Amino acid sequence: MIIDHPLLGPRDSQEFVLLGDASLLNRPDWQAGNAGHAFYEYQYLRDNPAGAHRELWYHEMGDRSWLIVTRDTVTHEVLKVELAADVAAGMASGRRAK
Amino acid sequence: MTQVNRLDGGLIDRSTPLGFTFDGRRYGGFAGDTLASALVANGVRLVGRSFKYHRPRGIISAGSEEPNGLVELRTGARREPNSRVTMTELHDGLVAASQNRFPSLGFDLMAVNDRLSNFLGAGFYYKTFMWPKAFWERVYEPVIRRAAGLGALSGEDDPDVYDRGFRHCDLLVIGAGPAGLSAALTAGRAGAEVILVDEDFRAGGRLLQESFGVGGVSGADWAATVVAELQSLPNVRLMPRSTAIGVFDHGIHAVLERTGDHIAAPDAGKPRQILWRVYARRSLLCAGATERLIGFADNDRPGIMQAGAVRGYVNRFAATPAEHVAVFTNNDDGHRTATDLAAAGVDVAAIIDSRPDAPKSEVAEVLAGAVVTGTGGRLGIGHVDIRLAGGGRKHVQCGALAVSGGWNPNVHLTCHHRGRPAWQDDICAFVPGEGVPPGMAVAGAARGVFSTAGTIGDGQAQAIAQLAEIGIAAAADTLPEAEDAPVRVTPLWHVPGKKRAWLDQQNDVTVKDVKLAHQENFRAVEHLKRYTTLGMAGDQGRTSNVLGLAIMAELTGKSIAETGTTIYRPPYTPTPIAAFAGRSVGRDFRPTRLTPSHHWAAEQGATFVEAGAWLRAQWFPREGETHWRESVDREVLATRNSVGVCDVSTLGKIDIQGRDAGAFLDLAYSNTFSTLAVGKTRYGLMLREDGMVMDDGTTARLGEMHYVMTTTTANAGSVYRHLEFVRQCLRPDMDVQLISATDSWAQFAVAGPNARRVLQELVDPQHDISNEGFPFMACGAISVCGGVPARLFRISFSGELAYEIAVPARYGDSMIRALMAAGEPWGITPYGTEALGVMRIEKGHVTGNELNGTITARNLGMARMVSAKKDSIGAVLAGREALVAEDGLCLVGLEALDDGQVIAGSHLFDAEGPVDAAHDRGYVTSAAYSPHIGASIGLGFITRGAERHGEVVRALNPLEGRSALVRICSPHFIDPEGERLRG
Amino acid sequence: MASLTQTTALGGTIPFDETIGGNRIREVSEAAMASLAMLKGQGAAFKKAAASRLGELPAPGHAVGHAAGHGGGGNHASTIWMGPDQYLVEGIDAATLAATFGASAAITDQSDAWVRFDVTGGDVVAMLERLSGADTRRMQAGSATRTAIHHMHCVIVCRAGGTDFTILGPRSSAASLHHALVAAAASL
Repeated sequence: MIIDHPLLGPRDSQEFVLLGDASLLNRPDWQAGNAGHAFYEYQYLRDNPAGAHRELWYHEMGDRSWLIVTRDTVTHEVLKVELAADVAAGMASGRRAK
Repeated sequence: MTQVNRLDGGLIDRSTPLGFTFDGRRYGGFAGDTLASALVANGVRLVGRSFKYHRPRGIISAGSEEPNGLVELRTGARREPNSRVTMTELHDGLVAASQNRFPSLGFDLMAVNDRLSNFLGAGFYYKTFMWPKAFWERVYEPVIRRAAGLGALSGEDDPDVYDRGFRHCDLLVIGAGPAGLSAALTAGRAGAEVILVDEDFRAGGRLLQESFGVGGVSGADWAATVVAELQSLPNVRLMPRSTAIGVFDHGIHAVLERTGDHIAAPDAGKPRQILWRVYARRSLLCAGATERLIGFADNDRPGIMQAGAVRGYVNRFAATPAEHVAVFTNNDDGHRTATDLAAAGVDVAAIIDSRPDAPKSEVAEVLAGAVVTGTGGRLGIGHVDIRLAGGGRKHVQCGALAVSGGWNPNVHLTCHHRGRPAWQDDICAFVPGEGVPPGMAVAGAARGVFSTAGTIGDGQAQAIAQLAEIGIAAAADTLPEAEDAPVRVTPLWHVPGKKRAWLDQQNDVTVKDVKLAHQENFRAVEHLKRYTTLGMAGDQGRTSNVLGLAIMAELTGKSIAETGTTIYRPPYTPTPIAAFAGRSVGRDFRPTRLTPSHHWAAEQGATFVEAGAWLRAQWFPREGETHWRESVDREVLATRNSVGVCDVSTLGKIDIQGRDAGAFLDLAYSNTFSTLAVGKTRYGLMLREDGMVMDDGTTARLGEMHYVMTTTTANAGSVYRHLEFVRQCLRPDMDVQLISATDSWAQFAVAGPNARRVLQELVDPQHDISNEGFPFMACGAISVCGGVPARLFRISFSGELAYEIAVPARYGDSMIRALMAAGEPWGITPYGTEALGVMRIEKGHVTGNELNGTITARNLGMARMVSAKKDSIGAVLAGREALVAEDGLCLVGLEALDDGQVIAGSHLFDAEGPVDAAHDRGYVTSAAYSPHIGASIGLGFITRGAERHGEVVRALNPLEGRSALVRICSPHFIDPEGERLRG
Repeated sequence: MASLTQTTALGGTIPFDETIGGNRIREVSEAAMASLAMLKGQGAAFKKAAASRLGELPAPGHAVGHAAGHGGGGNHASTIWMGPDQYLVEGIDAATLAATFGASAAITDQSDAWVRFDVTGGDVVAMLERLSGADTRRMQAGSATRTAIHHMHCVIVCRAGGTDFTILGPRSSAASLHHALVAAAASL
């Protein structure tokens, strides 16, 4: 599989390690009232779509960036690739804006 | 050594005669021959015995689809079974032997199977070998094993070298026949990066086997001209002897190049084969087509061949399969064989054309509307039985029968992403359908365009289209003139009859087997395939698939389009497993990591152990020691009594810098590090988000914004990955940078009552390492041996007074020697991982054995290390109800009673009572003999462990039938108050 | 007091230097290397320091030569892009860099983290395409990529297209990387 790294261009997926669903970016607030339940859902509950899926990939044999790859689990087509740090920073500023 | 069936002409090189041996007899051939063509030229018709029935078999094809001509090539360790004679380039001294026959090809005792054919039909093994049960393992299996298979492995290690390789291109053209050559030329002239692969050693494809001209010259000459131009283009790479065996995601293709199979043996260090990973932006499949046979009684006699192969042997290899050759065809193509045979001076015994409207021939009488109903001959065909259009019978003598049932496009690679071929009625063949791998297009005969002009034009057109998709403009140059005959075929899949008619010759599957599958309701093509094994042999059904499903379609009354077809998987042709392994064999299976003191340890005669990718000294045997326990016990006692040194460079070291380094560690560790003073180290517990302990280690604060974390050896990589996840994905706002420093530093533990004395010999005098100046858990950047930068950590894994001293790795070898010299007055003893393990168990330090992924901080007795005052990975889920239960597992020490042995992995049960899952109280995680205590001890987990010190329980190992009585105690067997550490 | 001597990554005192077929493989052990990572919010100070000491900073997938520094024996000295805001600087020791960049960067000595092999010859690409999926055929002077060679994390820097490359690998795997390079050179 080829992953189109936003900075480095097309790279063989063999250079990467797959962690899993990109929902792992949405780590709950440890001090929220329902933190226990929120962390349980965060850690264990997953949609498992046949279709577009957002995933976290780590470029271990490359620049050590974490990437968010939107990939079709049926056709294997890679629809989008983003730097996870950018997405996470965007989410954080989004939360601060609220 | 006369080659009785050799003709004039052909593309062989008569100036280079070659000698070879088959079944012990010597024969002659020429450069440019394959083993198959040389056997044909020498009149050798019988080359093997079939899989199940041991029927005599001969070569039926001239290509990689060959199902019968399977021989053992070479001798000794390089001997390889099931090698196709058609794909074996002849070289001088080649040695080949037939397979699956005893005692000989001509007289095979197992031919008795053929007489038992009524009992050995498809799926017979589902209905037999059932009774008596006692016979299964002792009788049936050994007998079946001996009888099964075709060739035999040498049983020796493969001495050859196989390489892996990587290539990139704009357009990968698969197949160098007329379509592929035309495509490569078009793309090459356009300046695209092109790779052209072909499984043959010479480009040209079917052009080499036909007598057509192209652009006024022979097909072979035209191909040679194109090749010459391609070779002159720096942007084109030609790869002969290279088979595209698979298509994977996003343009990744696997190509197997046979670099050393056409010579006696590769030179030392040179690979026999290279498996290439080709990254292609676009690919064009020009893989040609495979000719079908027709099913009729005894259609597997040696001498019955594909009509296209017969004229291939005549035109390319100047060899005829016999003096008198008959032709049986249902299409116009078969007539070409008759024409080419006659032109070469071979007698065409008859042309049997099943079509009532068959065209006339200039070279022989055409029996229109006739079919072959049987053949005869011992160990090879002697005559054919024909039923004429009117019903009359005819008997024709011949030494070979050329059969043409039509052509099947080689669609295989288009199916590798679960593509489904589609049936095209007008050519009676499957062509690429839906699901062709994205980025791949198909040209020429591979998609049902069969005429020479058609393939050349199609190759060019498809290449232009593929390049346009990636923004490269290519010109449509004038195409050379070539024949453009239409396809005229009337389907005839088999001639019905009572006797067996073969479909898949390699797996011995007949029309009768298809009927049986239908009768037993295995009618879907996927069931047909698996029940009969049709298409499951080395050619993946290239010679049999369509016939089989066409017959099933007849039986079920459905159309072929409705019946559908099975699809194909990589590899396209058989590929040695060694090719996938490449260089990753034996010691090179994965990289080895050596510690900075490795060479010194090897000089000492250390025994090494694999710790992940690392080699670590396990113990250092001394002269006279005969058992490892002697060495290990000595190392442990020497360290605790005086001083020992151990290379601990393998532990992960992660350099952490930035304004938020402390806050970052507060999140990653369960305990707090932002409060750690500069110049101090602290033990840290790292949890997974689910609350289980992931790793532990000590982290040192070397500066305000500078920490160095250690991890266990095994988890260095995964912890680093995890920290980068926290940094980039969870807290991108934090000012922190990480880098691995594991390899940068040679690090040695120096432990024992005399540890400080030894270090004082080496540490530069301006650094105060007295107990007051450098107390327990201190750390700092210092220098040693007159200015060499170093780091010193006063931490102890052993429980003794201990330090870890680190110098840049380039000084590591010199450092261990300096430590040994400095420590000599105190008898300094190097110790390995075993002694390291004994001492940490004696001290009660946990390692990966205890941190097994199901253990929490609470189980370790370290619940207070999970701070409630801050957020940290894993803290919330560590508080789940079940994980904080009163009767949870608790870390304890275990001491064996009565000279017993504590065995890691044993489960713990009350001294009395039932032994079952419900009464399982815990398990042993680590065990060792403690020379200090004089008994076998261990660490483990048991429910309510803290309350049970002093109690005796049973440690059971039911797999080996062993048990021991052990006393529960504190995990800290040595110096529980930690006085030695702080002195 | 004892004095310490150095060994190369392969454990010897003399760096490996051998020509196999058309390619020369030479271990370079005297070049300093340091990791340079920009700290948050320090962009302006970082760029200023970089301009003064290193000249241009490389874009992703590139390395830029810099005049300063102790390359030693005519060795190439470049700044190599390693990741977002991360660089590997050849030929300048960590202390000198720390003095230049101050609080704007995290600097770590990497001289002993890597083994370095410079490979030169008529057709280095033929050798490299047995080792790595990087498109070394297309690399020109100034291209640099991090990739895997036989499961080892490496950096490939092109000094001159087709004929002159540097390969960095983890120091502890030096023997395995050396073996892979020699075997690839011998297999051509």
